[in-house]
Amino acid sequence: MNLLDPKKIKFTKNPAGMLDVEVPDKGVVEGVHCMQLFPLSNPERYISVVRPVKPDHEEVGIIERLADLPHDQQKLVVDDIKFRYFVPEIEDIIEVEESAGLYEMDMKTERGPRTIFILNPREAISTTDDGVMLITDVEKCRYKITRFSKLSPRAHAQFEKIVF
Amino acid sequence: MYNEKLPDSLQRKLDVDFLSEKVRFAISSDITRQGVYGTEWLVVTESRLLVFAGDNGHDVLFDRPLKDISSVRFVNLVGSAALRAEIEEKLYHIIAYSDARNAEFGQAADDINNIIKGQPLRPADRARARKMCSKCGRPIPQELNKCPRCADKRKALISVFQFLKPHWKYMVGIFLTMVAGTLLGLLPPYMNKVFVDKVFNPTVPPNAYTYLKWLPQNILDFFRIEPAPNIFNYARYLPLVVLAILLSDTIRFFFEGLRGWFAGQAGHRTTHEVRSAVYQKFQELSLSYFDKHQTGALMARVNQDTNELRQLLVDFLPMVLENALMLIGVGTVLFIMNWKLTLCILVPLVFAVAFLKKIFSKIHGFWHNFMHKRQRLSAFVGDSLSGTRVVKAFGQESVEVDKFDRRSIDYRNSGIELETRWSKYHPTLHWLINLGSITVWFFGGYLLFKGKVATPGTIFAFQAYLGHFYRPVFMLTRMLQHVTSALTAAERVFDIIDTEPEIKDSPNATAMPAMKGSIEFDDVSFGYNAFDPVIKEMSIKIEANEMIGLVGRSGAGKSTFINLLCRLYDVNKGRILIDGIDVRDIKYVDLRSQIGIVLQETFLFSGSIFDNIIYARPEATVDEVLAASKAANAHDFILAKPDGYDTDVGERGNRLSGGEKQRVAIARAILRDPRILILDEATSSVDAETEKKIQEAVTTLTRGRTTIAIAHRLSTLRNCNRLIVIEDGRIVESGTHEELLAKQGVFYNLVETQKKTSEIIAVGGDGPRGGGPPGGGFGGGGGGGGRGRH
Repeated sequence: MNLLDPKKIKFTKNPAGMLDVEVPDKGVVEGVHCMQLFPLSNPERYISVVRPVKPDHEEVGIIERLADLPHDQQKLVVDDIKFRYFVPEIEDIIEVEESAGLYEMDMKTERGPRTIFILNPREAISTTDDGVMLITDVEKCRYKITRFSKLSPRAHAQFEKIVF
Repeated sequence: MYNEKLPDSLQRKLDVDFLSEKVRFAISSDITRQGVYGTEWLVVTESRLLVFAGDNGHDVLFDRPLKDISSVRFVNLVGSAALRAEIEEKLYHIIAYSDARNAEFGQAADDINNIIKGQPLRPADRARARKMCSKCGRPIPQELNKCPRCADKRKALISVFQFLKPHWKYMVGIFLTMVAGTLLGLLPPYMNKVFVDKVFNPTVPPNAYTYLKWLPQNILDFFRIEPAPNIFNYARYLPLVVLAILLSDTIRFFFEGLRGWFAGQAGHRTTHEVRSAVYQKFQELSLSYFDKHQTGALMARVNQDTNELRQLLVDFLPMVLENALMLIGVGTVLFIMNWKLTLCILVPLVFAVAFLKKIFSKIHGFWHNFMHKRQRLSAFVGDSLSGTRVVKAFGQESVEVDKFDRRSIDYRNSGIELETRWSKYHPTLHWLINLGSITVWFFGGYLLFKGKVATPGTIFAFQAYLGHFYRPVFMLTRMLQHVTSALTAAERVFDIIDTEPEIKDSPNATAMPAMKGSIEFDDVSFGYNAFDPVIKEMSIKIEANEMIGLVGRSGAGKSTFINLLCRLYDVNKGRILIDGIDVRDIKYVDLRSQIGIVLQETFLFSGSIFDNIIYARPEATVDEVLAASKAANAHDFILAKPDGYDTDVGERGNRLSGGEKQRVAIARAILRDPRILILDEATSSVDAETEKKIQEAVTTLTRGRTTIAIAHRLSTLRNCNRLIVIEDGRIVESGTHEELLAKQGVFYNLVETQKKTSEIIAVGGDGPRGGGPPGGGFGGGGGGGGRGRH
């Protein structure tokens, strides 16, 4: 595995707003992306740094632990991931209302408040083996709940209207 | 062009800060550049591309003259997308948006590029924009095409009744038996009153038949038995009461049976017709419809939703009618008997109904969770057992047991949860129901002592009627949700039936019973999402009987080229001509009947080998099937099977090897005798000997027809008249194998890469379309025969 030494790499933001990374032996690689290899089960470990080359990506290397990067570097990587991987984490469920099989869910996510609509909960909600719940709304946008047990009692009570 | 109205504050800013700029179009995003929910505005003016923050300050986030931008690109991210501007060979972020806004922004990117190139803008509706309900403002689910909240449920009901119309006799039967059964059902509880007041009450004169005086005298005389002195006068009334109950019950149960039969006939016949209509519609619908809808969801439409429709017709609607009739009947009798006591029993009923409504939705959810966990467990068992060989090979038995345990515990817990909830609610509900009975005893007794109830029998009759009164109320309360759910399912079913296929014959479609086979792509652009083209401005002419090899990396657009030629999709721009006529103007049946296709992933239907070959032309004779089979080098391996042509190929042809399936598919294509033949990786993933047999079969197949072949192994395309190299949806090279190698361009690089990364399996022999060095080809002169068991 091509692991990158977090002490020897340096990310910078270029004038076009993209990330460049300086890697030993490779020099500065321009326009790289950071991608989580396990976005659901282990989002803070194994971050792949890639250069988009058609038709696939060319991997510069893998950061094993996000936490090993210096703080400012972490922020650059997290911001890039946040930009690329838009599956907001649900932090609270304010209210759920059902009418004619359409569930309207008013919620708070890590990316801000959002109201979504779910049509068929049995198809729209799935749970991974790690217990991460993925919700797909009627517009095919996805949301996740990493630890359902950590949500508030209100969120539990509201979510019960959909799945329990 | 898609356009949104700018907020007044932003319009004012534009007027002040960009005086000379006339806005061509504007569109708002739902994500900010910080990756959080919020609004940014993309504004395209006559000369500038601008992005403003969505808040009142409207900071300028991007501002470039259009003349500086080479192109605007669409970048697909996870759950979102972004537009980027290419300026002096560098990409600059313009704006980001969630997947919900893909269509509008894809269209905007297209429009900006057209403005930059000075080309005219295309109509606004070419991409499927996000649809919002005009009544409630909520997004309309893609799979429904209408707002489920605001859709008129009566429409589904009307559609159901249209399907029921041919079976009106059964419906009349249902109604009559229901009315008769309900009326008869009112009699036995009333007999309680008669029993108490007349049979056991010695104060009533022995000859008191007054309340039965409407019965014919001879019937009354028949039951008139003189009572013994000083005992209850049961002898006079007992047989009459018992016989009345017996008769009413017997006839009622007979009617109930009859009603069930009528309902079954009407329900199952109607559901069959609806199911057939849905399946027929599936056959008519374009492939794009199946791209937008998951197969599982469509299967659910055919199985689950039509089953819910059956339940609606056979169970729910008759039940609703029956209970409504019973409620009206019993209510009327009770009010006539004693309206005050009737009002008293309504009090606990109100509480019971409110409680039932509250718990029903909860229990319903827990029950679904229980069922979901059960399905999850059984899916796991199915998956694990079918992969037993892999489990054992990797020694993962204990891991599988752990996984099973986790799911089984989930299932167990959901069952316990369901039972716990139910054990909490159930006694409360029954206690509330029993309150009604206690009310009757208490208030009935009170009214009796007060002389406001005529006889004790009335109280007994009230008790007996109580169940008949409460049950329909509870049933109707619960039924409301079932009927709504079934009507929603019916709506989904009728949505499919009402869907218009995207690809259908144009009104002026011309017949083409015998095409020559020349093909032309004239400036064709196409994308499965119109905003993300896969084929880009492609133009190529293919002569009749020419053999063309399509070459390119995975995802270059080769299979899309084939899909368009078969008119599985219609182009977004340009046209495809066959014999000089636009495929959209050729009768669909003529087009399809003259195009044959052999795919890498051969699909065989369950059934015999013979059934699968003759599928191509059901009217073919046995001789023709055998001849096609021999030409496809399939006959020999079929002979080796114990059941010959009757051999069952199994589900999806799983009982045949890859090479056998491929040869059956080729035999099918030979029997079809198409003018245009498409071979999509037809010889990949088989061993060399099998490939040789397949090559021989393919050689037979390609003679005298236009052939388009896609092959992973580039050497197998040696015998094509021409190779077309596709890269990123565009034709980048065209020529013979040798010409392209000599050119040392894209094709040469592909061949070199393949040489380096994998061993090219050589297939001997020169084909009829020209020879070539060893390395295979569709020709393949020598060889043949041999048993094809792999």
